[in-house]
Amino acid sequence: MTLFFRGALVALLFFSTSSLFASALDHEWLSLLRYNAYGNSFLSEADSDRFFLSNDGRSNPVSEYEALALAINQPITNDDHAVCRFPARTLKIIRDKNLSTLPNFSKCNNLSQYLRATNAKSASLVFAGYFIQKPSSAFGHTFLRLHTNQQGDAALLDFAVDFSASVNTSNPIAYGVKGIIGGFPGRFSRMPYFLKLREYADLESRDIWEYPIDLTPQQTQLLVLHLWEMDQTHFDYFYFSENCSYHILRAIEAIASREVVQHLKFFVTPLDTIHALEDASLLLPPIKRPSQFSILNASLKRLKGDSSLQANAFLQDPLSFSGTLPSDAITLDAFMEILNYRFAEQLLTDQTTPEVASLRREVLIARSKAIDSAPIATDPSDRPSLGHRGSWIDISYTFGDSSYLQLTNTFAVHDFRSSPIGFSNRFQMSMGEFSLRISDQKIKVDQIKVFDVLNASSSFAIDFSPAWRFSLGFDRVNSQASLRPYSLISSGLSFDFSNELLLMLAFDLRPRLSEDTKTFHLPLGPSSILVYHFDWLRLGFEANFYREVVDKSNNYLINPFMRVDISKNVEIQVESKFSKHEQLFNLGMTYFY
Amino acid sequence: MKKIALAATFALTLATSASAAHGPAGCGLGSMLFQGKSGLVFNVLAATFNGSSGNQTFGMSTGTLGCEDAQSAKVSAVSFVEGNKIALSNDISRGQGETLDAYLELVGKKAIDKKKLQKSFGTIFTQEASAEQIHQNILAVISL
Repeated sequence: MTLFFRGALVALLFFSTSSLFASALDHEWLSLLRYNAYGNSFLSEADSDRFFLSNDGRSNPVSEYEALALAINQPITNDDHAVCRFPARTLKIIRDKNLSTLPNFSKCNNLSQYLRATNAKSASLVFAGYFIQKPSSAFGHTFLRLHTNQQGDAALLDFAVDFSASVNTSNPIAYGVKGIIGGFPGRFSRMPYFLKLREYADLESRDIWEYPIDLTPQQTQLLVLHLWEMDQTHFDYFYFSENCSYHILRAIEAIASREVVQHLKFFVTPLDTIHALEDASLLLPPIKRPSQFSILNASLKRLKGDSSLQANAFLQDPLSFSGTLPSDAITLDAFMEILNYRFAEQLLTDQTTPEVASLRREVLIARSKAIDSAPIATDPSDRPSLGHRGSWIDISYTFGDSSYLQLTNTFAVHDFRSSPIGFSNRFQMSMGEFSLRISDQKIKVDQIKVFDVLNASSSFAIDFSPAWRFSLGFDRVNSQASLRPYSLISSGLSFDFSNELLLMLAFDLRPRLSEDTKTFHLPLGPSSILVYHFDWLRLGFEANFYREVVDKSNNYLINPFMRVDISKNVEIQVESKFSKHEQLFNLGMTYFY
Repeated sequence: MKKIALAATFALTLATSASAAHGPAGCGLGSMLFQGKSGLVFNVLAATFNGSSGNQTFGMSTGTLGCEDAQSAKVSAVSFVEGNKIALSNDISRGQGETLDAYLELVGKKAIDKKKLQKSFGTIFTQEASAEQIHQNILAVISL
């Protein structure tokens, strides 16, 4: 009999222990506490001790599970109680143990206050898109919208939650170094959603895409509670990997019981996280909120004849406008949007000058007296995630005066020769390009581009600002030359003849280190880019003519190309390069991943 | 080591200055952003480093101080006007719009005839009116 009880006790202990291990090592628990597995061991990404109850909680999910399971049995006396600090984890343990009594969150004052504000019906992942005139938007940005407005659907009464670095230095070198090696603490924060819309759509003129997250009401509630737990910690912010979009994705993953993060690359862009969440069927088709720039464009496009001329005169210099204000609503709408765009920063940051304030008031009073018109409708555009992935590999074979195989990997995000679907056809943000050349059974570095940014968007009509290109890296003047550092500074005009056409005429300055590394060369001269976008095909060329300032020599480079889309993430390229020194032909394939 | 080398490369290519975060002074965008955030210098840094921003004085629990009503934990009407003054004035001059709809929902006046507000634009948005004054002016027009 004693033997029977002893056996039963061992069996009970075994099953309860294995059940504990199963619950503490399941995907939900590991995700809620941001554990990553490294072989047989674990380490959480959270970088604050307050995020754990157990002394070894950061690296031991089982002991952390046990600690919380014990703590939730203690009566709640203040906000520091484990249940108040970790409500989402508490609910998981209660579910695991099939407990019928739910924790009384109303005894947690701070949590109750938070829940009153953020009692969400649903949630969206918000993508603030690219607007290359503002380089800060080049990669886009993601954050959450909690649909907290219980009375209706007014987005402006909702809350936003984002993750970003608290920058604690004004030293540019420290800024760069600390940003890349995780020297800034990153934290989740909550704010009214309208502040985000004003910042991104109005101030920075970035189109906003709201992707509803496919969550049940219970999962939405769990998301709200999980975000609350984020207040207990910070995460070291790595600009290229564990950044804003990465942590937003991890928060969604934690409550959706799907494995998403393992499909991400080491370097993470906001676009990558949207693709990953779409692949996991967690995002629904998005809604677009047009930027101030898009609204202005649309308001100008619906003007005709004299109205158009009048608006263009106003656009050039609103403060010097001496004509009579129009009386029709459509033209006045354009006048309003011109002011909103041209003076966005001062209007939105309460620094409006008396001249602008007075002119704007005059226009708005005139508008309030005009007969109503239809609201401004902006052009539809493809959602960002409809386009190709954010990184790519090129494999190509070059022949002609030289022959070699070339392998190139580019970290992010879009090349103007690639399909513009989901992007703009007049912008390029190419970063982290690394090429290898294989010939005669030897491998060598062929080219490195730290970045190559092109802005040829049609803003000249609105901003009177030039098109430009800026590139920095290491390349060769011809296929036989040595790898040398270079930079390209290019400025000129782009033309908005049609949505399918990219035409840019510019003047280039391309300083580079000489072959013998003893001097600098300074070639300069005119350049042009012409690309026509068909549905699945792009034809174009780049042409550059250089005059070398130091030795007075001339050179040229003509580079016609054709790109064919095989699928969303596969393109075939055919191109040639003609210069004074050589003629090369190239066949290749690009795979976006 | 690789990360540090990469960091140095990027940092050295960006000979520029960063900005410091400043604290809350209300619910407008001006109180929330980096000083000089819109400058080229900051934009280039932010572009390279994936757009982090410096308005992280607040966490999940505190929300954005200066915007929320202490009792309801929701954004107050005056804070809403302060943060949306430009969009609200656009909408009232047109007699329609999302910002106006949200404001009316916030003050519980969704059924009001918006044309009434449009016709009173000049008396609502007086010269240099504060958010509080605009809010009171709107309520006064609604009550007429």
